[in-house]
Amino acid sequence: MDGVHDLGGLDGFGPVEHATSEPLFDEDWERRAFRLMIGWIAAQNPSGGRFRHSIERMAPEHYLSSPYYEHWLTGAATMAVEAGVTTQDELDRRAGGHFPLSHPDRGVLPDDLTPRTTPRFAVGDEVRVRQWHPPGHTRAPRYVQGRRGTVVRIDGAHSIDDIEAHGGGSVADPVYSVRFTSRELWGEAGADGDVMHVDLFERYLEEPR
Amino acid sequence: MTGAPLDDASLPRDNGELVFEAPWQARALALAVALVDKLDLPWEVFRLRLMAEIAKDPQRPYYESWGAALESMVVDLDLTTPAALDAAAPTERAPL
Amino acid sequence: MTTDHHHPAELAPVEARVAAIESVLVEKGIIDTDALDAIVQHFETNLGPMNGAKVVARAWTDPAYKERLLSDGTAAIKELGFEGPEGEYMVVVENTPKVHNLVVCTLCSCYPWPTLGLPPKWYKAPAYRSRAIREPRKLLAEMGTDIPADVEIRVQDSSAEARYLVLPMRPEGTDDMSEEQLAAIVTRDSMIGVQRL
Repeated sequence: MDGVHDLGGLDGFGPVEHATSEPLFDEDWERRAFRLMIGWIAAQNPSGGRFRHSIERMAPEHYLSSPYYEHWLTGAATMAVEAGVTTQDELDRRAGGHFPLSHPDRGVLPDDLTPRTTPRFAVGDEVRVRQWHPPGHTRAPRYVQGRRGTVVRIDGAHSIDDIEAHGGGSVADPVYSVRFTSRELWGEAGADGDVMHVDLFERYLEEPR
Repeated sequence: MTGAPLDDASLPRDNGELVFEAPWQARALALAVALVDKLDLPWEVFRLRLMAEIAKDPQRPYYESWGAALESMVVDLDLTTPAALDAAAPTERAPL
Repeated sequence: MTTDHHHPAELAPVEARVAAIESVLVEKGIIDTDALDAIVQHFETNLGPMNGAKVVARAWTDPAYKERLLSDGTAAIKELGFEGPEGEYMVVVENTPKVHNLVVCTLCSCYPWPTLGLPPKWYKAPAYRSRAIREPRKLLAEMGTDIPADVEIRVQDSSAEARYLVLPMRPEGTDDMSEEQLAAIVTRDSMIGVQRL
């Protein structure tokens, strides 16, 4: 989905608030949110994509205005409601107020679920990223869609998240590291001497035209 | 969450369905940590055993080498015997 | 998920929301908080950049190990006993006088847990995720790291399975240091790429 989580290249977020070290959790609720998400994953075994997508589906303003572990809290609670373990009403009641959850999952499976284990492209090949824009989970960031790059590494076939996140099981697809120049991605705002390497599934890629 | 590359032969399957083992992977981790903590051992002790198990079979998934390292640790610490481990029936899956 | 329009207007505090979902999951027997505490403690104590630092120090002192590390990061890192979730497919990228690597996850917060532990707040926040991929040189300068114009900045977006560890250049004047002493000078930020040693 073209969600607000897809942050690469967006303006306006200001300086990085960097610290060289920090505690893992600022507050106790964060540690508990982490703990319950780990427990959910251990017990229910959602795929990584399904878990990530539960967070991507948060209302944009909620996503941007909440601390990181509130994303985990919201994703876990959303998955629990969708699994029938609890309901919005029960959560509101127990929390003593509104418990915002993520928006519904609009992901769809492609017609072709054929696994591919033999890479189609080789190191050195030029590729273009399709204008993919799926309604559900993907690992093709918006900033590379439609852009042209060079394959620099092949990582073998892995389960493509776009399919696994929406109940399609583990479908193998080769993964490539693709090198893009800054100018290709950011146009006149790009810089010579900067390059971006992005890891992309084969289904996102096509021959350049 | 998978990470290792797949080929058709390496995908674990059960009657054509993929088998995931996350609950007991997490359990192996929880047991290792709890045991090390209970015995007042530094984590390094477990890590060294883990290194030895990985060296024996570098291709095995991490949760299997964890399990093997745990077993060797509890045997060497005289907490149980290999025969007792073999004989232990699988327990009911308890919540983690 | 719901289309219920009658939910209470006031947002419950986050602590209350955590307690609410936790109580549901405990009552339904889905989670056991005591057992899970052992796992959280593992993340707090046993995972962290001190692990990655050992990998770097070994690579600096053992050329054959370095070669293995760069050709198969997962296997070489496993040799030191570092493996587990979010470390199943490791790629180690080497900084050189001509190339400086910077690691980001623009889409979420992917990070190599077994070697670096859990990611810091700033790595997961929108400012870093949006800017590292677009204006890395300026961002690094703001963070106190000046990369000369003739050095390529290579930003790795961890968008699929690979998790990245930067192998920083060994600083000058460290020839007499032992592997253990070297590990002590390798920082987390140098293994993400926002700092040079």
